[in-house]
Amino acid sequence: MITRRLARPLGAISSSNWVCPSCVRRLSSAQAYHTAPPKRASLLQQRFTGVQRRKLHNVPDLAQYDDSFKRNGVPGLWSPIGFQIAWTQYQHMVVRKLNELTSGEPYENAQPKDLAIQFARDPSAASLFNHASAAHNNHQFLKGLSTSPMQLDTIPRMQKTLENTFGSIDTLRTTFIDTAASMFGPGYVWLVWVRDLSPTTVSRGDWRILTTYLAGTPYPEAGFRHQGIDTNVSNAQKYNDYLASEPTNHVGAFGPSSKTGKETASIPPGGKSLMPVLCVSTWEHSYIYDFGLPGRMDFLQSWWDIIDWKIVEQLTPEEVWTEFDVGLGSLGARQYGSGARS
Amino acid sequence: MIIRSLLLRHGRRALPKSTTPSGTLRRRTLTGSPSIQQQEQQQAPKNTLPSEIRDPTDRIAQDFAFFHHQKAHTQHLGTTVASHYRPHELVANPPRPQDITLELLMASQAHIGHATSLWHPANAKYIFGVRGQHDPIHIISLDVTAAYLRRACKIIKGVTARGGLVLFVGTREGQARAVVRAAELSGGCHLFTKWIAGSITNGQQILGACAKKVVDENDVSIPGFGDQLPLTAALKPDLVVCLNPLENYTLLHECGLHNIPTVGIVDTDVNPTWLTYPIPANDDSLRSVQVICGALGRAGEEGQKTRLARARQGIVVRMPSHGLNPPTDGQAERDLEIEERARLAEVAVQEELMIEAEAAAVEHVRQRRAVKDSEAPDAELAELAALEDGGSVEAAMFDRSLKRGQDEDEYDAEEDTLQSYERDRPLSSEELAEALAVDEQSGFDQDEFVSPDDAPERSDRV
Repeated sequence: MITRRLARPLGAISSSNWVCPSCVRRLSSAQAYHTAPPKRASLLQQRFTGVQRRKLHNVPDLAQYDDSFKRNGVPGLWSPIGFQIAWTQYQHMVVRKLNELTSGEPYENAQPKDLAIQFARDPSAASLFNHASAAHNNHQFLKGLSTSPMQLDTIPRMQKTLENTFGSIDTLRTTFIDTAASMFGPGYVWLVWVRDLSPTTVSRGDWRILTTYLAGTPYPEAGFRHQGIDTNVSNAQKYNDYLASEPTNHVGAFGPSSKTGKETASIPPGGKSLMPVLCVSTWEHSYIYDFGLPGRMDFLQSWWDIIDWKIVEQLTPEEVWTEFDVGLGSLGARQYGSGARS
Repeated sequence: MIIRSLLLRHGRRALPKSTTPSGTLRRRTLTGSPSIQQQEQQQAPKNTLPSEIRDPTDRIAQDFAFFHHQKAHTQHLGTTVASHYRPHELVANPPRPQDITLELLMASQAHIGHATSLWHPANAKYIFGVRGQHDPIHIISLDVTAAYLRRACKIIKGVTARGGLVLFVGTREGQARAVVRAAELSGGCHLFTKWIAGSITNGQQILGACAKKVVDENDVSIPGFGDQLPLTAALKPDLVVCLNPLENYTLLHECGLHNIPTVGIVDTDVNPTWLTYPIPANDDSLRSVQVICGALGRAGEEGQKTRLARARQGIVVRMPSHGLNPPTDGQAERDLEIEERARLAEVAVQEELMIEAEAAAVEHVRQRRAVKDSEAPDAELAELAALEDGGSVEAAMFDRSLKRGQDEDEYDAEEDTLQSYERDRPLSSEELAEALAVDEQSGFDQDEFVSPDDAPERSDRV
């Protein structure tokens, strides 16, 4: 087990040891520095503990639904406590750990998505990747919920483009839910628009159902690092030495170290750019309180009924509608989706 | 408050009160002919946002739109990152005077002064205290800094609201971007290289060749003064902002001689009497300089907005006389013609450069084609013969390359016999397209390939 980075207490002072003299005097006299800091100290108390507490990452607000979900739960899906476990407790836990892992580092201000893509293939930063990706995925799942969801048949163009790919909405529903229910273990299931699928099809992109296990990220940029060693048979030291040996400047017009070389290697061979529009969490903490441990199927069926398709339509990129209007989408019709990738 | 009288920069009400009975004629001259404005609008297409892509089926446009859509909807998911320092934002989106807080100034290290032994006693009232035992430095009072900075912002806003010209000067390394941005926001001028001594006192000599223009209250250029402008004095700024007064004493002295008020950042070792409106702050930290310069630029921007809004309503500040006479008959047309000629000359120069580059490329291709054409039949026959004899393709190619080496002298002679008009004539569009297409195809020239196994032994090969 590689334990590269140990958890540091929240509010650790940055890498330099300099403390201004007045603070040193204050800290030594107060003697509050060496004891465990109180949890959830009030603002007034924080001022006199002598330790700076600044969290760079905070749990995001769920737009206008935050209060409503907290008080009444998600109608048709979760009770207030179920919502609290699925979102409040879990997200706070993940964000707290993320703060501990990033504080004092040069990437402490980076967004979770950027962290996930940067550290996806770094074995010594596995924990950082996991927490960043989990925070991102869970937020995306919760962002698709609302108190007054819009039905799919009220948005004809959304329905039509999905039918072009999956044949019918029932097929889409069945495929999606079966895929999610049959996942052995926690993860996420996504409905994504994938670009540049094949030069032979008339349409430039298509809908696909994608599964990611645990804290896997759906973005293809995360899946590829231009690396010359097999990290399965090397340790963290060897990997870091390899990274250090790579040139850090981008001289030259071609080659793997050049600017163009690095840009072309941003997506793995065979990878396609995609835009996730719908996401469901198959982690057990999402459904265990309201549906029980064997209740994943019920949870997924309840979730499908309360999807807000207006949000899905807003997330859909413009080129979906452009292609559809031009009349090319019907030629790319498929009977089934991409199928479950288990 | 000292406000320098404006001369030429904004020539609103450029004409004195006219005695002609027809007011319509005067109004037309002031606001410029409508046709010019329309032309300008047509020539300058506005930048379109991703959502306003004109051709939605264009592939590159779709890629661009997709990238921005994905970024907008997925980039910020996961956590809310607290606001933090991003260096480029101080220049790209500088803080407004309302955004200046003591926390911001402290985070930008604006309170850090120099060693106590280097101080100038005249700015004792700006200093909070001393920090450090072994190498004590002065700490500047940030509440004093904030107060003086806000006052300076008001000065700049007032000057620009009355159509004044502000000059931003920052000659230290790294200050260029901030100074240019502040001048851009305030509609003023910038300087980030050495101040040439005498630019104000000896302006006609040093800046006499700089172009001037006359604009009306809405900042629209008025033609018709082309004969008078070269004879008028060089412009002097109405306010000078200096980010490093210690290195610009000459500039500040010249401003003093000409009653030009100055604003500047005063560190603990700077003489505050050099400036009309000092801002006590750290001038060595780039971050603190960018915060202060940014706030001043924003204040200038506000003043410009106010002035233009008032001008649209017809409220214009009365300016003192600028020494210009009303345009003579036909001068406006002459000025426009000169402008048009200059623009066409510029376009012609660009086109000439392009043609030269194309001609050079085409010439190169033509030479290669000439070589191929001259030896093609022989080469092909030789290749066929070699293949029939059972030789390899590489051998045939090597033979051809050898032959070409022998024929090089003959090739040059042939080239020289071409008449210059034949060699230099511009290609027709079909020939040009052909030449460029050939150029693109022949990325890897088969003729030049020689297999290392078939190359002869060379004495110079190691």
